[in-house]
Formats: sequence, structure tokens, C-alpha cells
Amino acid sequence: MEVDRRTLMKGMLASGALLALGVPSWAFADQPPRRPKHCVLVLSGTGADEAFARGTQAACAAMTYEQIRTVHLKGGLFTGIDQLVHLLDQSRGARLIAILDDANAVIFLELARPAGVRMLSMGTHACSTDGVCHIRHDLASTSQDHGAGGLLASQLTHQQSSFSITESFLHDASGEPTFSAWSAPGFCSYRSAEPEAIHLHCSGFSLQDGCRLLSLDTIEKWIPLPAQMSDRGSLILPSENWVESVGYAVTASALSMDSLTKSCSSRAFAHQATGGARIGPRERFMSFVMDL
Amino acid sequence: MANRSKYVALPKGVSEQTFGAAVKEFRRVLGEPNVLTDADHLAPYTKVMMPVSEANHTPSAAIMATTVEQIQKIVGICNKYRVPIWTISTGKNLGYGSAAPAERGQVVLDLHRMNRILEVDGDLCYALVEPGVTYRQLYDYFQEHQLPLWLSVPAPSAIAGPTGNALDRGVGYTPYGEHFLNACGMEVVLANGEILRTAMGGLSKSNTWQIFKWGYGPYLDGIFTQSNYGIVTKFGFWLQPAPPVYKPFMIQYQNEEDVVEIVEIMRPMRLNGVIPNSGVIAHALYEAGLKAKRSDYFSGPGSISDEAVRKLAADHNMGIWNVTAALYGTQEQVDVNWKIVTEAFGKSGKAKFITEREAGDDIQFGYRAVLMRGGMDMREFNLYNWRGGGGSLWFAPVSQARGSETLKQMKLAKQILGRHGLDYTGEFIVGMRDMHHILDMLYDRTDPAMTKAAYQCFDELITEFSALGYGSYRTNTAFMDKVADTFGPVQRSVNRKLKKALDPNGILAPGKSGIRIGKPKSVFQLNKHFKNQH
Repeated sequence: MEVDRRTLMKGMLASGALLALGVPSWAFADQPPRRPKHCVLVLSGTGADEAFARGTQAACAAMTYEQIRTVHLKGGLFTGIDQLVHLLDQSRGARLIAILDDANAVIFLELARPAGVRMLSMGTHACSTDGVCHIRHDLASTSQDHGAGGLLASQLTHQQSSFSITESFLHDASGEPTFSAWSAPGFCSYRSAEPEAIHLHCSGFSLQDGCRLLSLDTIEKWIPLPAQMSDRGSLILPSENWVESVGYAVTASALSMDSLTKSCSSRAFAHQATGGARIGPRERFMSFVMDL
Repeated sequence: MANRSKYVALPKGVSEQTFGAAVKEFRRVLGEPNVLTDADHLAPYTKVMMPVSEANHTPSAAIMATTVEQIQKIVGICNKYRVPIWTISTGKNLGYGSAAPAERGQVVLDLHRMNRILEVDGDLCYALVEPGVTYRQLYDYFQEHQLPLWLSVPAPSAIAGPTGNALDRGVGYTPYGEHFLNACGMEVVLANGEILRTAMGGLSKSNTWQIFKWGYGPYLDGIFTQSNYGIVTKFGFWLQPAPPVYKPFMIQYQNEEDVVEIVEIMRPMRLNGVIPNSGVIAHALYEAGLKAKRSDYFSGPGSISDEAVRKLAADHNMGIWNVTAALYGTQEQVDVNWKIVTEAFGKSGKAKFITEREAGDDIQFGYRAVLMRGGMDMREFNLYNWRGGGGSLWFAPVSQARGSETLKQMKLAKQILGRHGLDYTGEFIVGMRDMHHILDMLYDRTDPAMTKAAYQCFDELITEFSALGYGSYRTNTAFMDKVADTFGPVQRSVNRKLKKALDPNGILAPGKSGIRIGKPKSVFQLNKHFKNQH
């Protein structure tokens, strides 16, 4: 295991990338109550590690967050679980952001559960040519406080990528939803209230095609939803790599910026880029955010 | 699924107020830190690999007990408030449902901290353990105490445990690979709080509880497997004495039809003990994730072509069928049996033999060799990287150990999977007379259309296999009612009568194997947005 404490921020500051990013309005707001004191980025040797870590660096820079260290899990978990057990044990009190391939992610989660972690979010991410949308994400968060879907959708839209995102929230204490907490140019938003509030945001797809793409119910029950501007949506990382955008969105959510307005129990995004969509690296991986 | 309750989910038919009262009592018995109701702590219990929404399987709470007395008090509380509990030992069921309960709102009773190794007898070769004990714990214990004993482990080896695996009638790859066959004696907390020690355990001073399975009168242990009639708190099982010589080997064949020859040669050798272990006949696609990714060989929609599979096998020195088995005993015994094996398989000229010497550091041979001596190795799960996307459903029909039947099942499965654009990722675990035909239906959970297809495909697999008389020996929590239906109304009725007699309030894992005190659940009530629409 190789530990590279706090080098991420130093690199970012030296490169001047912080200025290039622009600083979001909320970055200087009061610290969110659940912003972690320490963060650990766990890389596990996937092909997506490097780009994901760049996204993490950018998010930390944007949020002026320095308390992050990087740990490399070497050799995977199939023949040796000791290093992960040790990491979970030694990182008590930290928030852990992890990226693993699909297979190691299964073992990772099975070891994390008995360790008593608090799971904030997990996501399955893929880019392949065997689906209608090449870039696809399936996200689950315990609450909208940690939902990365909106920010990720904003990033990917900016990259001229066709994508789909489904996102579920395990717990939602919201009242009746009346507006969308996310919007972006070109997107039309809809709400379905039965049996729970689902928000659907489509761009380049009709409502019918969006529903078909996401295997959602028939279109009759969807109601157009007036948009409300979102601060998160305005924060764009100037990257052309979708993996980097995932690292950025997952980390920004992990650093617990101001909560979204609670408005739905799950949401989905479908975007078809015009004029030839970019595909990007054909990677598949899972991301986790958890408190130890 | 979101709700506006204080809790992430509630048990069916239980009000928030009633559930709150139950939680308060759970906390009194177990202590505050051992009763989890917040979303962050429950999220790791919700993750499933099945093509259904996690919301269908979200628990209302997870509670952790460490003693039998605590469990007796918990069932008392559950009866008082009619709160259902879903018991897990280590919860590593992966493609069968992992730690998530069968039904939304059930309380997970997590016994992973109840993990004492109570007894290991090196002479009589048995162990008595608590449910949270993992194979890795036992493996380390044997090493530490220099006990010449071997385990038999399933593929999740290090992280799984013998109690949960045997109670779900799982299998391993050693001569002790049929795990429940090697179970001997259990302690069970019944729904009314009574403690049952099965068979010889009924005698307070018995020293034969872990060595004689049958006791006196009806053999009861079986009704506590794949069921919900009690909570097993102690579990006895037999261990294999470490043999002086161990010789793993692999035999490769290059055509799908060759499975007929393989099975016809293997069956007599399994029956007469020449090959004593639960060997495996794995299709190339089952092992492919160890060496490649699907996207390297095939892209676009639909199932992978036979041509691509042949190229994959050729590129990575794999057979289309890969037989792994092992010989155990003295050098003389192993030499004699190896001669029998090579002569039998060598007759047709189709077989390619690989031993440790030829295999070198080949990962495929390596992980199989570790598992066949009960070692800790989870490299099989590389298959989750073959396609990627985190979706897995294990379909597990039983086949006769007869070549023609094996080929028939394989072709039927491949045909059904092909209709849904999915691949045949299968293996046969070789018993004496039966084969566990294990199909890991891999799909991409980020692709809603494929996820929907996976659900429909699994449903069709059960329907079409059962129509031909092929029953599943085990299934995932999303399809337990459907599989229970295939075994007929009388079995379901008897199971329900037993349930009513032993657990009249239906507090123990309602829905496990389709067993509950109420009306059977329709398989069409199960799904909601994103993962399925029916």
C-alpha cells in the first residue's frame, strides 16, 4: 500500500488549475455540517484511476479542501483482503472515496459492511458501445445531500457526450415535490408522482424516447416540471474525459457541499449529444463514498 | 424507494409507532450501537446484484446480536410487535441476493459478530462454530494450531462462512464439497425462544453431537436449511484430513458437444471414488474474466458469437470446456488413479491434460487448484469484470450426471439467453449422480434495457427449465416464490403448515424459499421503476 498524503492539492495549486476552474459561489459559504475532516482516496489499479484522481484533485481545489490522502490498493482483493481490512481499521473517522473495478467492488462492499461503515453513495459507471447511450451511470445515495447525479449530468452535457444516469435516494424526508432541483440548457424536466416522486430530465430525446431508453413506465403519468436554477449545475470542470468528470462529481458530493433542495426519491437524466457524440475512454468501474 | 417516515423503510403492516417501540426494545437488549436504522448504515445492506430495484429489498433496520440469549429476547420482541427479521450469518450470497432481505422493511438480524470457533477436533475431524465464523477464520485457526485439516469452501471462500453456506445448501470443490451432506448437528433458536439442539445434541452430556448425524426419531436438521423455521446459532460440520498427496489437474476440450464425452467418463469415476471431489466442467466464458474482457472480443448488442468464444479460448490457452478435478491420498493411490484418469480421458484423443507442471503460473489453473484443497481464493469473481456493470444472477438447475442431459441443458440455456442478448456463462459442478449446473447471468446494471432483459430472461429460464422437469436447487431472493411454485402446490402447502406450527406469527424471514404464513406472493408484485416494469 502506497500512501501519498496531501500531494494532490500541492499539484493543483502549482499548476494554477484552480484559477482555471473558477470558484463556485457556494465554495465560500459556511462549511456544510457533514464536510469531512479527513478524506482518503482509494485507487485500486483500474484503468480509470488516473482520470478519476484528476477529477478528485479538481474538486478538492474547487472546494479548497486539503485534507485528502491517496492510498493505492495493490494486487486486488481476490487473494488478499488484509490490506483493505487494515485500511478500514486505520482510517476510522475519515471519509473514504474509492474507485474499483466491478469485480473487486463486490468484495470491497462485502468487507465494508461488517466494518460498520456509513455508506453515503455508490455508483456503477460504464462506457461501452453495446447500449444506446455509450456512457451510463447507475447511482445510489443515502440522501440527496450526497447525490452526484446533477453535477455529473452538467459535466457530461458540457463534454458533448451522450449519456444516461439513473439515481436513487435511499431516504428522503422531502415534502411534496413541486419543482426540479436541477436544470441545464436544452433539458426538459418531468415529474412522476406515482408511487414516489421521480424526476426525469431529457435532452435530445423526446419524453417517450427517454422513457424507453431508461425502461421507465409509460409516458402518460409524467408532468412537465418547472425548472429552478441550480448552483451545482453552473460549476463546470473543463475536461473532455468522462471518467475525470465522475471523479469530480463524486468527490464534490463527498465533500458535502450545500444540500440540494429535497425534491424527489429518484431521478434520471438522458442526453443525446448533437453533431456526433464523443465517446471517451471505454472504462467500467464502481465508485463508493463512505464514512469510516 | 423514498418515504417520509423517520425510518428508511417499515415492515409490511407495521406502523411507524409500533416499529419505533420495537426498535426501542431492540436497543435495550443489544445496546444503541448495535441497532442501526439510519440510511447511511443500512445502505451496505441494500446492495443487490439482481435486476430489481434495491428498494424492493431495503431493510428497516439492521441489528447485531452476539449471544443466544440476545436472540431469544429479539424473537420475543418480534413476536410482540409482529416485526419480521431476516437473519444473515456473513451475508455473502452475492448473485443469490447478498445481505438484503427478501422483502422490503424486514429487519436484518446480522450475526457476523457471533463468531466464536467453539470446538475443533483434530482426531475426529469436525468443527462446531457460531454463525459469524468465516472460512478464513477457520483456515487461520488450523494454521495457527498446526492442525492437518482441510476445509471445503465455495467461491467467496475467505469472506463467506460455513454456517450460511451449508444452510443454503451451497457447494465447494473438495471431496467434502456437498456441504450439507457434511453438516452434523446444530443448535436452533425457535420462534418461541426455545432452544433446539438437533440429533445427539438433545442429550445434555452427549459427546457425539458432531459425529453422528441422525440422533433418534425424525431427522430435523434438513428443515432448517433453505427455510425460515428457526435461527441456527451453532453449527457442526465435518472436516477433511489433509491428504499426504494432492494432485490437481485440468482437462480441456474444444467443442461444446464434447461435454457429453466428459460427463460419461467422469460419472463412473465419481461413483467409484477415483475422482473423489466435486470437480468442475467450466465453459470458456465462465473462466474468461480471468484473462480478458468481453469488449476485447465482441461489441454491439446481442450475445457473444461462437466464433469470438473460440478465438478467446485459443488466445488464452483455454478449452471451450475446462474440466478441473483432483486426486487425494498417498502417492501410490494418486499414481494409480492418475493412470485411470488419463487412460479414460485419453481414449478419444480430444482431451488435453494439464497438471501443475504444465500450468506454471496460469491463473485459471491456479485458482481452481487452491479451491480444490479448500484454500482461500476469490479470483473466480474476475468474471464480474468480463462484461462489467455489476449485474449477476445465479441460475442453478440440477442436471443428471448424464452427458446427453448436460448438453441438453446447456443448449437450452444458451438458446434462452441468446433471445435476450445475454451470454452463456456456465459451469457444471460434478456430483456422483447429479450436476449443479451454475449459470452466472451477467448483465450491465447501467443499461436499463439490458437490466430489464436480464429479469425477463431469468424468469424464462425458470419457466422453461421447470417445464422440462429441471428444478433449481437454489435461487436469488427476487425469484424465490417463482421457484417455489415450480415444485408444486403440495410442497408449498406443507412448508406453510410447518411455518404456521413453528412460527405462528411469521416473524422469521417471511418469503425465504417462498415460505410465509400468508398467501403465497405473486411473482408479478415485485418490481418498480428503473430496474423493471411489468
